[in-house]
Amino acid sequence: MEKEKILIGIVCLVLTLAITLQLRTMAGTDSTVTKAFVNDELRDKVLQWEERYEAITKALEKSNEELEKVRTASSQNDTTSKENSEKIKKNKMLLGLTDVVGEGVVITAEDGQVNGMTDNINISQYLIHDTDLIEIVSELKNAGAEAISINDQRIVNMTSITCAGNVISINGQKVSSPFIIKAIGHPEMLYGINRPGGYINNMKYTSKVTPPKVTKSTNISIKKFNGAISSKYLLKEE
Amino acid sequence: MKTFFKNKQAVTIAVMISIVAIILTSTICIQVKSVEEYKKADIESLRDEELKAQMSLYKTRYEEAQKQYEDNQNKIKEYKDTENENEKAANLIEKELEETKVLLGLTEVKGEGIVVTLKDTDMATYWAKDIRNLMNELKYAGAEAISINGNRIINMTDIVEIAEGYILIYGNTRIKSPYTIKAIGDTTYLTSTLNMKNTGFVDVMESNGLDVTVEQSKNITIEPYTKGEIESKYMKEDEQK
Repeated sequence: MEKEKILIGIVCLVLTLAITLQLRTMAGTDSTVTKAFVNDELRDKVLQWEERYEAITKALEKSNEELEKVRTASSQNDTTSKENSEKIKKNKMLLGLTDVVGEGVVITAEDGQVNGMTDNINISQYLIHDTDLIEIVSELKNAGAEAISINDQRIVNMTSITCAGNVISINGQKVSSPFIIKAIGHPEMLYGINRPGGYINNMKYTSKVTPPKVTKSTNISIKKFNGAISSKYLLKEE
Repeated sequence: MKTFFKNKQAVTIAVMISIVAIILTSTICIQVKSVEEYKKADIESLRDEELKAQMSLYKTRYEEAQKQYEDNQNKIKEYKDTENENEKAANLIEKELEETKVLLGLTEVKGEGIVVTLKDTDMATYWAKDIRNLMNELKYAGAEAISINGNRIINMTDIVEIAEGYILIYGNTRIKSPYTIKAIGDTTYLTSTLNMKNTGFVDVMESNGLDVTVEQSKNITIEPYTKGEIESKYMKEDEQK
């Protein structure tokens, strides 16, 4: 009898352990259904904040226009004030806060097409990456670009270009292929980014993206930065 | 066999063990299924992280724009109040002009932030691309002012190399190792972004054998941009609205 009792005892122990383990695993998992529900709620919240953000940037745009009007009006009677008012306008343009026009180049960078059935394709080779855009922008700056935008996202001092899943995030906004990069400056110098040995030319050999196109243009319009340039960590001298 | 079935105890035990075996097997099956579910839920929570980050970004941008809007409304009121008071108006305009200069990087600025030091070693040299990536990461982490070896980084500042270890800023100013990069912004956010496991600047550089240190500071002074007027020969304001 002793042997059997011990046997049953061991079996019960194992069973208890198995059940406990099962319960613990289940406790650690919200079911996929619950997760998807929370996910939807979050998605709604993100949309809400996106809408709020769009609304405030529109309001900000209007208030910038009004501010310029009253400032100009207040400066009419004083030469220095008039000059300063003009300087403010110019500085805002330099900051990227106004729409601008001028000659320069337009670059189109597009993800590549995957042709046919290939088992071991590395999809990454067909994509334009954040690093590509960073390098192109860097070359444009080196070639004297005065204003740059990518898919209408103006490059300003605090602009960062990062990977956001399947798309690229510029100024916190998602942009995707095809990427239209506009740059205002000396067209010949800017066109130099297309030179052999330059980053764009190298892309044709090192990756499977659609070969980027660079075109000179006499009339490029670049949109302003939609938002506020933050300075809350810069201590104000009073 | 007949003797076996006649022995009641043996039968009972056999049945019990069978039942237990069945339960154990089904438990194992359910366990394996749960792990599958767990993996799926994990992917959903990854989207959660993305969504949360997106929401947080919109919120921050919203608050910045909101503050700017309020500032504007105050300024508009102040200008309107200066009717026929030229001196008052002149002061307001001067103040606004000064603000634009601060944002352009034309003034010295102070604030909390971090100091990143990059050193070339016998084993590895810093390339301009590494420093460009650092700039991008600092900006992503909200840096409001940045300088490298005393050179202020403004919007159109470029960093290139013409040979290994020969790096130029603005196309004409050489900078050499050690590179001292100062950045003003949210100290915690700046530090945590650079120190992000595997993908942050520090880990990436160190995995390439490069020397990098990050220090926090409550009081950083960043130099002004001193290379003259910022060029705007080719761009004009778009008057069409």
